[in-house]
Amino acid sequence: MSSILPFIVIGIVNGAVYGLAATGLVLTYKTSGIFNFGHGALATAAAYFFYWMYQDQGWDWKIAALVTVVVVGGVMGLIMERLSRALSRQRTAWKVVGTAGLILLVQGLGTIKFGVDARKVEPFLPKAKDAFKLLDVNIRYSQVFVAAIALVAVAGLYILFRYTRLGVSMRAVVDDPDLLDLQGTDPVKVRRISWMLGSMIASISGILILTTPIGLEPIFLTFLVVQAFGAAAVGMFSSIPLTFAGGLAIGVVESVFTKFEVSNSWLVGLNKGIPFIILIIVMLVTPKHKLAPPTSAEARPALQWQGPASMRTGAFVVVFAALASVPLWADNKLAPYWIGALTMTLIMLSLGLLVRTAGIVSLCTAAFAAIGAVSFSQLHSNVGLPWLVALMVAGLIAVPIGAVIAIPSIRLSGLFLALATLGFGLLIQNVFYRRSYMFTVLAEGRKMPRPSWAASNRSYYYLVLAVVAIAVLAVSLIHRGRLGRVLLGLSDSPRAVSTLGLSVNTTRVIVFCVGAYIAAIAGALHGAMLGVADAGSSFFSPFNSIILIAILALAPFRAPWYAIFAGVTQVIPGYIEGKNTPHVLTVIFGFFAIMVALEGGPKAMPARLQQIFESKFGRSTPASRRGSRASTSETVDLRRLTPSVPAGTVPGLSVTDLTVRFGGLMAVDSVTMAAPMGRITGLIGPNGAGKTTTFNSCSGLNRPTHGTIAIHGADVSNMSPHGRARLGLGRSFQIMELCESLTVAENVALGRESSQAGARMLSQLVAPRSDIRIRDVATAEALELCGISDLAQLQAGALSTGQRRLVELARCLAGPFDILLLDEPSSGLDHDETAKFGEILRTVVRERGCGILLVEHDMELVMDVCDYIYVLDFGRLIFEGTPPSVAGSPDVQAAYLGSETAKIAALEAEHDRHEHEEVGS
Amino acid sequence: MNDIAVQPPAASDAPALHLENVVAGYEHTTVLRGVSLTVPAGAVVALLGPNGAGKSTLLKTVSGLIRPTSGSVQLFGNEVSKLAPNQRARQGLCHIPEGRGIYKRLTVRENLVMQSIKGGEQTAIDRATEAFPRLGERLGQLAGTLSGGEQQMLSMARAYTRHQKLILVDEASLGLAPIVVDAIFAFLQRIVAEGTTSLLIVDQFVHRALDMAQTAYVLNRGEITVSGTAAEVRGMDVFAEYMGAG
Repeated sequence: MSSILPFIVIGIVNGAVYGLAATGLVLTYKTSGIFNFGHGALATAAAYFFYWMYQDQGWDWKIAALVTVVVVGGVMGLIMERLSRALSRQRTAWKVVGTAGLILLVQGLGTIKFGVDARKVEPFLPKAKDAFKLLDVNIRYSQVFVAAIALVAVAGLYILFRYTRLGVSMRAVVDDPDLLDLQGTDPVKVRRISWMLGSMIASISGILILTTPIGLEPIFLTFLVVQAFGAAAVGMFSSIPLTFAGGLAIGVVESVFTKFEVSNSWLVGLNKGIPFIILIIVMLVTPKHKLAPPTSAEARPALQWQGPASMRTGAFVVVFAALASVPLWADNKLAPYWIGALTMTLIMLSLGLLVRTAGIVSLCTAAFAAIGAVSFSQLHSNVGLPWLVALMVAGLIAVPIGAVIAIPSIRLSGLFLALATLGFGLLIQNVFYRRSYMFTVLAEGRKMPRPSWAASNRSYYYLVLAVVAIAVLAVSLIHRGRLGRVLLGLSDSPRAVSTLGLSVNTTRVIVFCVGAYIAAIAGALHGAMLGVADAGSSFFSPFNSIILIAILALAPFRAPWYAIFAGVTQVIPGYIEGKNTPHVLTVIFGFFAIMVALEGGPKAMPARLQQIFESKFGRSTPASRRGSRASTSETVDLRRLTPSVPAGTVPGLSVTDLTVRFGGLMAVDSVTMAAPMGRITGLIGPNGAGKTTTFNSCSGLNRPTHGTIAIHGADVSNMSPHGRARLGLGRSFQIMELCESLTVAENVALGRESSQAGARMLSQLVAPRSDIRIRDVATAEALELCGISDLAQLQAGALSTGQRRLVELARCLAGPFDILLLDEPSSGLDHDETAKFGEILRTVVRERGCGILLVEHDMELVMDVCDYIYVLDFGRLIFEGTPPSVAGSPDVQAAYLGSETAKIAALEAEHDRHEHEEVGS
Repeated sequence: MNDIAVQPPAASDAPALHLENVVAGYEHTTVLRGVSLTVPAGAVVALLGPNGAGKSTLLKTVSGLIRPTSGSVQLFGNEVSKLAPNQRARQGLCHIPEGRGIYKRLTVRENLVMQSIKGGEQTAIDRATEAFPRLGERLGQLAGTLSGGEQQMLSMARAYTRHQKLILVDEASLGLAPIVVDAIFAFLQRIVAEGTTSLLIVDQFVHRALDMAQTAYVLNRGEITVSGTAAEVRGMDVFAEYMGAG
């Protein structure tokens, strides 16, 4: 037992620093909503400054520490607040990129100034070399000092939070920044103070870590943040005491594991994996809503522009011809630079598919490359598979691992998925890279032979170029095909495509698998270029995953051009020689990744250039144009477009005895209603009457406490939204969920294609010809029905609210839906737009015979178009009937005007009106 | 109990609030389409209209949560359309938003601290508990665990914890028991009776709002369709107005 104690002591000291760093992270995350992946980078920057003042300039350590914490920490906090304010408007992917870029920036600059190797720091704490004995354990005074400083800092923060007005306002800004603003306190100021405090805390932890035997080691410091991530996860990303306790626990477990790994070889490296294991477990078991990041209005993606087809073909020929000519002039730069450019292109294609197309940030690409490289080596050298076969099979081995990584993506929102993938990458590196079955325990690593028929640099270059060409082709096919369309839909609005009938979980698994396959092949090819693959190779390091994300972020153009652009950046160190070139590049990548993230992504091609290109090569023709070209006269049996109603059942939507309770609140109380076919049924009621809750129960977004929902007589009360969609239930959203980067025609086509793709893997991958024909006809018909055929080629993000409502309706109509749920479709429309919308609704019901349930606050629209109306108040059905009977109902008037007296007053007013016809506006 | 500094009513005759041709809304959606409205100093004005007419948007435009795309917002005679909400709040504007303007994860005491001016924390707590004794019994409780009525009292307390020159109240009675609604209205009546505070009230209980008000406006689809004295508006069929028949 006593032999464990020294490890526990070390663990507590390290854990105190982790806990301290983590509280700073939680503080800034909670108050600003921006999760700082670069929190460790702040600590690193502070450690460098301290090192410079104390070691290089010879200042007293106390002054150096004070200046570091107050001045450096404070300034970093101010900068961070500016960054976070700009990032708060951007999509999750850019929030991750914007803060992860800090890691590259700090580490690159630090390495340029201080070199790559760890530096020893002269002990500076008082009595640093002395120790005392407690319970037979040697404890150094410096250890006590470090733990005490961390504890005091966290306790101080806790007291500030609990008992001061400033602390209360910091918690208030988490709860409701707008309210704080209304009460006269500027939320920006409060956040600025939070960021300054958070950065100061990071600075303290950066200095404290210098007292440990690790010293000044850039990579370690940067990834200190993952121990902090683990600790923050223990505190559910919100509780400061729990976070600190989590840090201590991680420190202790880590340290104790170190003791046992001497005797149990399978434990080797596992200690470093602890934070990620904790992180991943916490994220998988925490209730989903607790992990939801604070929502904020997100900017729409920039409008896309695709060059004319002839121009793209021409560019392909030129680019590949140029790449093919490289071996003729590149001489000794061919390997590793130009072949490296090709493997980089390949890995970028993989990452781009995830990040750019599907909108999923993955920070473990390098781990897949490593798995690919090792698998290839094993299969070729040990199993004896032929070279090309080994390469292909190595890719396949990464596929199931990709599928496993996709599982958290089903539960986790973008931010936490990014965290989980970062954790996974580091876990694989720490625990498995140095195992005999991976890169082996030997320093020289694993043999990665080139094929005998392409052993020279030149022939190997052409081999890799051929693989890249195939991958570019494959990725282009994916983008042109069904998978590309549903991925873009998934990226822009997972809620919409899911309610249209797509099983988004299947889509996520597919994209991770495809990404893993390509990344694994890239890893194998890269290894074979070098001849060996070892655990220390920068290509396979988790740090590289972050570099890759940064380069991907700043690379301009669409797929696959950004990948080629990113690849070519790899040749720069070959031509600009100098030991610092890669680090300067890291700084540049980091800096520009942050800049691009602040803007919400790379800019589209300037309009002037677009015009020049279009005048030279003709108008651009997006792939979707084929969708709208099909005319309605084509002989597709349109009855096949809508699901058939089983005989002997009540067609339409019926709600029986629906009750929904949220905790103690009875949101909906025993409501029975029906929306039959061929009719527009209205559901109205004052604010808070339970309309939206009823609506969500119908579409499957909440579960009824009691009662049933039936579609065409089939009970669907426990069915998922996409399951209901496949039975014929379509819906719109009050806050419109269009896929902003797609054209109107593509959006509308998704209405059909999402349900065609459904839940099966194969049907998501390829679209049969007949499906495409049905989709095109349905799209054209829906566009026509809604009168928006002329908008077909415009990008959805560029439309007005009125047009967007119609696109959403058309998207429903293109799908195989015969019951439509419309949620407040008139909101944001002016009088004329509302009237036009009502007219279209009537046409739709007349032509299609479908059933519509209209939840609406605009009484005029409801009175105008509905055949039958249900009125809710306080969760109960208070009236149902035809529009005239609703208008004449005193109960309804009372519900809208409030109270019994209102009912009487309204009756009086009615009476008065008969006497004085003049009164009124 | 500490006395709080009660500022004398504005010497000039400037109205507490004046909106001129305000156009405002959210990204890609215009909600207010040229609204003009005046709340005279010391007056009570009711703002009526169906759901979705833009009443909350109008109040948010006054308090600064939404910036108008055009038009002018004047508080106490000064143009404020470029000021942040906290700057307007410091001029004596108090916007009580719809749906319980409280911090659910803070205690009642901490909520009252956030409502107070710096240095006036204890005064705020004293005044709030004097107006709503039930809050006094629950000072240490998390606001999110209060009943709906108590939450609304806590939210409304801000109208009284420090002197406010103009109060905007958005659907204060929504979802509350009648007895609580009575308490809330009595509270507002009491503040108005002091004579130094103006009030712009939006409430589903149209006739209660009209009882308090001197003048009223009806907002429909982002436009003022009716305005007049409370008595005149009471004489109209407001429901028909809501249905779009007006």
